[in-house]
Amino acid sequence: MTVPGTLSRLLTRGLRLVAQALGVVLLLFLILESGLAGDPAERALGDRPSLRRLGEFRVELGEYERFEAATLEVALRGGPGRVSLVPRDGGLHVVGIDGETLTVWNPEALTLDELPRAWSQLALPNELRIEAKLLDPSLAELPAAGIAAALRGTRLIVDSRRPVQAPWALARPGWKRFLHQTGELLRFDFGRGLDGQAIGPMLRERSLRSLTLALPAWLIGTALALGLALFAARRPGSRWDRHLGGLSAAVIAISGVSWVLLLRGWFAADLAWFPVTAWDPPSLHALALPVLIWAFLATWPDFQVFRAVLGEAARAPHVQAARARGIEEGSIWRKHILQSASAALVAYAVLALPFLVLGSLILEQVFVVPGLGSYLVDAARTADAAVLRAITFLLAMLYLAIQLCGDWIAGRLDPRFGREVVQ
Amino acid sequence: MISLAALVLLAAPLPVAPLAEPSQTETDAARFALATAPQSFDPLHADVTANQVLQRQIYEGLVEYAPGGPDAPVQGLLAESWEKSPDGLRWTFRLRADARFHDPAESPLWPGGQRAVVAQDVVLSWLRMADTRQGPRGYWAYEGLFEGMDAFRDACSGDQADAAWAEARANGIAGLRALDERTVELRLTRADPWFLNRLASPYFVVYPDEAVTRAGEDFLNQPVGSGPYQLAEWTPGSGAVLNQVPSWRGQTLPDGRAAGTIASLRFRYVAEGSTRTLLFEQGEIDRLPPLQDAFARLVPDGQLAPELAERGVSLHVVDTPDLSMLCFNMLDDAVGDIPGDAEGNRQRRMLRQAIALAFPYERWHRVIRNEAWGMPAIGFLPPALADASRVEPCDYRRNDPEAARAKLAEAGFPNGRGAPQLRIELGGTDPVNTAIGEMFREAMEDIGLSVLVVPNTWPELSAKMRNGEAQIFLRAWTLDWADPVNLLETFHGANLAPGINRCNYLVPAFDRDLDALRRQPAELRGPLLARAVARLNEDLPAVPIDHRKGYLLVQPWLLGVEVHPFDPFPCKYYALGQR
Repeated sequence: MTVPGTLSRLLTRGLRLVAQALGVVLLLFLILESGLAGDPAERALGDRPSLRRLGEFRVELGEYERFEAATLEVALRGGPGRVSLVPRDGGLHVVGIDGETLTVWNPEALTLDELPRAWSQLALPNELRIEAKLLDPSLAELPAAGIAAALRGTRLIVDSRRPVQAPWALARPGWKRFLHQTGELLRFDFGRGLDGQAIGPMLRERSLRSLTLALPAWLIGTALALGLALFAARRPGSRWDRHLGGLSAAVIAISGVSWVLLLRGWFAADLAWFPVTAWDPPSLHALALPVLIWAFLATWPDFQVFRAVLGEAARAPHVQAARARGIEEGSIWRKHILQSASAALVAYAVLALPFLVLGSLILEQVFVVPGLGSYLVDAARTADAAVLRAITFLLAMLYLAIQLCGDWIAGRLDPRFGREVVQ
Repeated sequence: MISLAALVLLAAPLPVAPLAEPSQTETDAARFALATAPQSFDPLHADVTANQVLQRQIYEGLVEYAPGGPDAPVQGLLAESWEKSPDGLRWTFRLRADARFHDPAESPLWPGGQRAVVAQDVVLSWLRMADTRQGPRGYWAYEGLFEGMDAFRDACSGDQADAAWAEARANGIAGLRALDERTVELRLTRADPWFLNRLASPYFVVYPDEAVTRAGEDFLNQPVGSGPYQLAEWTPGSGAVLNQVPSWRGQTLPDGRAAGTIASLRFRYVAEGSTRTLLFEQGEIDRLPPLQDAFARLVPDGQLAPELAERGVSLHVVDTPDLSMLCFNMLDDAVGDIPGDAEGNRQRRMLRQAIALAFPYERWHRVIRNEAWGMPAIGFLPPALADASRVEPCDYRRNDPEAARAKLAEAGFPNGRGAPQLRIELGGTDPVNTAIGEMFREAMEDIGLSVLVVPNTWPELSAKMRNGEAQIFLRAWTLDWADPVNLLETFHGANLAPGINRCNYLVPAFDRDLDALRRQPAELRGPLLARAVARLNEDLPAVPIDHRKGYLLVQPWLLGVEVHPFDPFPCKYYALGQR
């Protein structure tokens, strides 16, 4: 292979990696913006939110560039009544008691100073009218659209019995936040989570803890699965082959959570062979049980894949031809079957590697391992978008990098595999 | 990029973190499992329960709850004495001469790692809670109470922050001032009969400004306090080890014991309830609030299981100062309140009363509370509050379907005919929430009302409540100190959604009573309190259901445990016996 050729391939792959990374960032941004994970400000403030606290927290989160808690005093005059100002489609819908929109106010180019007059002219039933009064003259020139921005996710209840104060916010546009987040992620600057902790160091420390649990489990599980698959594949259709297939199906059929609790209850609680937790302090003895449980759970799905790959390789025409030539069976397995299946086996096995960093969501919770898995669970629970973004991005990067490595190794083991990937 | 490279390089060989053999049972360490993750030692983040628990061992405030269980009074901590003006607006606290901050850092802030606590520390620590740039989560405890503090807060959120801080450092603010090294003067905008209890909450602790300056954003990992313990090991989001401060000034408890005798406190976050239970059963942790998964086994019929009793485990039961409520959204045109529509409001009030009369309280207690975790409410105030006896019970908080039907008929909905369809919004899709929805639907259908049960995720329900869109929902409110106003605030018109008044109850007369109540001395509050609660009893923006009960199992070797509802982890009052 020529040097320019290698460089060109590396460049192509590098560019593809960057494009995929940007795609991941965009996807993440859209998912988190959709509110699927909940409103971080609301979640962080728990039982004690208010318009003011929500606004101030959105400034902390970078959603607002500026926030003013009280700009106008708003009252409903002309008789008893109540309306709600609900931000929708860039304007403010004036909603009546039955939920019907009475009128829509579009902020256009008004300033806060001009807003009281505009609102007093809104057409409301029963001669009701909205009276607004600017509370701080220094805010007079602010664009009135900020009222709608500050009411995001909530409403301003204007009741004839009690005037209220309207907040104002300058929202940071989505594209600005996206660019900002993209820049940060590509620099591996993950910022701080809702708990105030810097995310980067947490990722480093926690992923190492997860790997301490996950890597031995993966090695044991993969070796065991490969060994059992070889054992079964060399005896196709035999009692052993059938029993191993049945056993793997049975293990997979029961949920992982049940297995974890069952095996933990048995070995740590009833027999007391192992400690209940694995990381207080970490020790080989304490880690043994979760590692073995993980290995046990990982073995059987891998076994089924490995068994299928080896079975297919064993039925290949060139293997049949070798057998017909009377070549010794052990040699056929070593030189023909394993060699031709190795690329697919490696490509499959290494795909699990990036997820090892993530650890196990269940095992880390049950065995109290402060790894990345438990970090992710806690972040999902608290709608911590920054942590969710960082973990997902890190995983995506690792996945892409290891996929490239796996392709490269598989290509070396089987030139046909490499060509397919390059094409 | 460096981060990832380091990660990959470190991960390449067998990434085994330093491993140690399992430690021997530490006879001089108390060990606790937390159900929520400890995240920060910054007092600005004292809103998270686990943070509070850890911070209370390190930081001290002017006052604290004395040992002795739920009725324990407030006693001095950093303050050795205090005076109050006759109108209750001016408080003067005299600090102890022997209170010292201890810096556990290798290069401590002061020679010998110690410095005396002075009045200026109180001023600066508390003012920091008003600095919105630093993301305080507990300012609500200060809001509107100290003269000049809200203005200081406004200044901090604007361009004048540095000037405001410079002025405050030199002279304090009107409501918070250091008169000399050991005297702090507080000036309040209104008298607060529960002021000392408020100061005993974790939002009023004192710490040195130098520690904040040194650590910057990392102050949440480098606490410096004056309490009996200091941080020795810390894994954010996971656990911490706190060691005794050898030079702590000491404290003698009423029973003659010394406080803070346990050499080390080990806290770890254990998310799984079943794991916490196992750890307790194996003697790996020293106290456990038993949860649903093991409650029936460990505390059958609310009594300690015989095998635990044989082991010497003790059971502590505490009435949680809270209220679980069935809430009505008063903005809703089916069950709420419409300004100017007197007749309709009367009809809808009777509909709410009928719903309250039909609610299956006993089934709730049996199914949801397992006949143990709750104490049926008789009114809005938890009976643990001294003021509870001053108010009338809620007459509609009883299961009486006949009375409910009569009330419906009186409202103009005989047998539910013509009544609007009700909509109960649930905060989860788990079996407990499903059971709640079903029991409510069946009970309402029994009196002829049609109910739509709407399952939500918690964020969905939260958004609906915040936006005033949930019609009927369940909510619990826990008091921060034993002031009934703390609960009644959740019905004040100034706190409409998205504030804490999620029922959107807006009655100016109630607001006026509550505003007046806040200013009244405790001994004069009775009539106003009774009137405010009577209004809730009649209007029923929410139906009081019950008050939760907290259970705590304690190992025989953990001594001195008495559960205080507002200070659940006073480790310095504990002692360790023979394991």
